[in-house]
Amino acid sequence: MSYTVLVVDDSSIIRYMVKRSITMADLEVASFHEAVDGFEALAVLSRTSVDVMFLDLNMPGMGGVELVEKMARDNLLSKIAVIVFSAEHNPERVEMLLKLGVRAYLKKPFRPEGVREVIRTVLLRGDP
Amino acid sequence: MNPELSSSTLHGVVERILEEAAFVLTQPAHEPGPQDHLLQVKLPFSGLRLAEMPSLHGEFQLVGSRTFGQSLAANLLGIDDSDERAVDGALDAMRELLNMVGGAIMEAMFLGSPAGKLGVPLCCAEPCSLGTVVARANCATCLVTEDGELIAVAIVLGDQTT
Repeated sequence: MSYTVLVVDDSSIIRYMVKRSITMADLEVASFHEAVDGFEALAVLSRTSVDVMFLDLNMPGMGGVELVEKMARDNLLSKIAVIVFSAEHNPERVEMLLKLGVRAYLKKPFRPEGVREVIRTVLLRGDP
Repeated sequence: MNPELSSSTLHGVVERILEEAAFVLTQPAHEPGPQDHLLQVKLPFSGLRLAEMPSLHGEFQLVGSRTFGQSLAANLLGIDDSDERAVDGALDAMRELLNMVGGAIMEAMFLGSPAGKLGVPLCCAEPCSLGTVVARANCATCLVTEDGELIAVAIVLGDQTT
């Protein structure tokens, strides 16, 4: 199976690092999309069927928490596998995001091996 | 009990994050040096709780040369320093470094009372000097060198943020 991937982060460096990590994880990617904040992500999601989304939390414009909340209220968007990554590690916030349907939380700085492990856990175990 | 939010704590975090994120090894430095016209990024925070003190707000600040930023970007991206993406990514790399340092400091200080929040890292339009940043810091300061380039990270509490 090949996946359509969306990476949402205001840093082009982090977007590149995630893309490279995904490549190194041998995930078969059908198409790769990028967005700099939640607004751009919603625009991508409105025209593209995304399988997995890597999402930063602290961004200008619409941040990651607001985007997850919007997606949780949508029948289609709530089915997308969301992997959150952030420099901020607040356990209460992580728990709240997981309750909203987020599949995994990656702490920055992350290594390609960490991304690969999360991809394997989230996508290859076949959870809904 | 929370660890002391000191220059020593900050130094340990900066050293660890640079090594983990970008394979950059640093040496401690003690003098700000004469460098000016440096790039500066700031990261606001709120809800920092130290022992027996009210919730604090302030900024993490990072100052370094464009050469350092370029080298950091190259390391993060796994490309050569002279690559155009490293040249263009100098400030972006410094924003991300400060973001990771800020997150690690907040995590180290909270220890079970996670009420703190980081903002979005901001780039400052005006170049500045290392001495100015060090003089302005009222909580903790860390000075390190990486390949001859001085880098300063500071924590500025409360109303003294600019």
